Amino acid sequence: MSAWVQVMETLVRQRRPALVGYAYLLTGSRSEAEDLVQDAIVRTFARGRAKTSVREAEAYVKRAIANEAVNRARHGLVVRENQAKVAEMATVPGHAARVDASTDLEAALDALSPRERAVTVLKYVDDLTIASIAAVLKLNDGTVKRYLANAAVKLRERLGDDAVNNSERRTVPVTLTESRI
Amino acid sequence: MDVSMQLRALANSVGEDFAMNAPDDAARLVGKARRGRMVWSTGVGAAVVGSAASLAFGGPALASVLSSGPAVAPAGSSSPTPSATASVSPSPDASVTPSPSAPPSTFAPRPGNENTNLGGVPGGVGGDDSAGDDSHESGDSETSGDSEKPGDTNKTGDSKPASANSDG
Repeated sequence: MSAWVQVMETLVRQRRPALVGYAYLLTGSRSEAEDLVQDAIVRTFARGRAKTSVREAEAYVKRAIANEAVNRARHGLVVRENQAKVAEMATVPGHAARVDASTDLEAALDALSPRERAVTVLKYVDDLTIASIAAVLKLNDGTVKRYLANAAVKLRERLGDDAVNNSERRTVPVTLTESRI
Repeated sequence: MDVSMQLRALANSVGEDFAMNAPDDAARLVGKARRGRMVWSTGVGAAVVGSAASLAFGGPALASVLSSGPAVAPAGSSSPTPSATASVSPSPDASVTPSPSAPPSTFAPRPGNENTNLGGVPGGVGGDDSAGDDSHESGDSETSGDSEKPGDTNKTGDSKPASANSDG
C-alpha cells in the first residue's frame, strides 16, 4: 500500500470528525461542512505531492477547507439554513443544553461575511498570526486586520465585550507585534 | 467563555456528532483520490512533455507536428515580422528532428508562409495542459487551497493588487 494511501486512510478515520467541526465553523452548515471536508481530502491527496504525515496532511486539508469555504460562500453556493440547522441540532441527543449558547455563537458567525468568518476562525481556532492568515487566504496583512476588526465589532454586538476581549487578550503579543510592523 | 473557547467547543460538538454517524467510506475516498492522481499526473506529464518539446524543437516545428496536417495561413499573418522570421528560420535541429510520422509537407517551409503556424503552438500545448486540469476537477483548489485566483480576490474590491502582497 502506498504511503499516501495509509496517510489518507488514517486522516479520514481519525481526523475527519474534527475537520467536519472545523468546516462547520466556516460554513455554518453541517451538510456543507461534510461535503467540503470530503472534497478537500480527495483533492489534497489527488495531487502528486506526497503527504508524508497525517499532521502535515491535516494542515493542508484545513487550508483547502478555509479557501474553498470562502470561495463557495462568495459564489453563492452555500445556502444558509439557519432554522433547519438549529432544529437539527436541537434534535440530536446531548445537544439540548448547548443549543442556546451555540445558537448565539452561530448567529454571531452568520452575521459575518465569508472572509470575516474565515479570518475569525483562523485566528481564534487555529491561533494563526496575521501574516499566516494573509498567506492562507491570499490577502494583504492590512486587509486581514480590517476583516478581523470588523468581525470583532460584530461579535461584540452579539456575544458581549468580554467574549471577544478575553480572546484578544490571549493573543495580544502577536497582535501588537504585527500591528506595529 | 471567550470566543476562542466557544468556537472550539462548537467545532468539537459538531465533530462528535459527526463521529457518531460517520460513514466508513475511507476506501471510497481513497479510490477517488487515486483516480484523481492518475488524471493529474497525466495532465502534468503531457504539459511537461509539451513544454520540453517546444523548447527543444522550437515553436513552429512543434506546431507542425501537433497539427500534422497542412497548415492554414491566418489572413493577416503573411507579412513576417522580424521576430517571427527569426523564430521560424529553422535551425538544423528544428528541421530534422520532429517525429517521422508527421507528413513531410508540414515540415517543408513554404515560401512566404513560414509563420503560418505561429498560432498553433500555444493552442496545442495549452490545450493539453488545460485538458488535464479540467478533467481533474473544476474547482481546483490546491491551487484553490493554494488557489490563486486573482479574479476572485478582486471581485469584492477589498483585496489587494497582486503587487501589494508585501504590504505590512
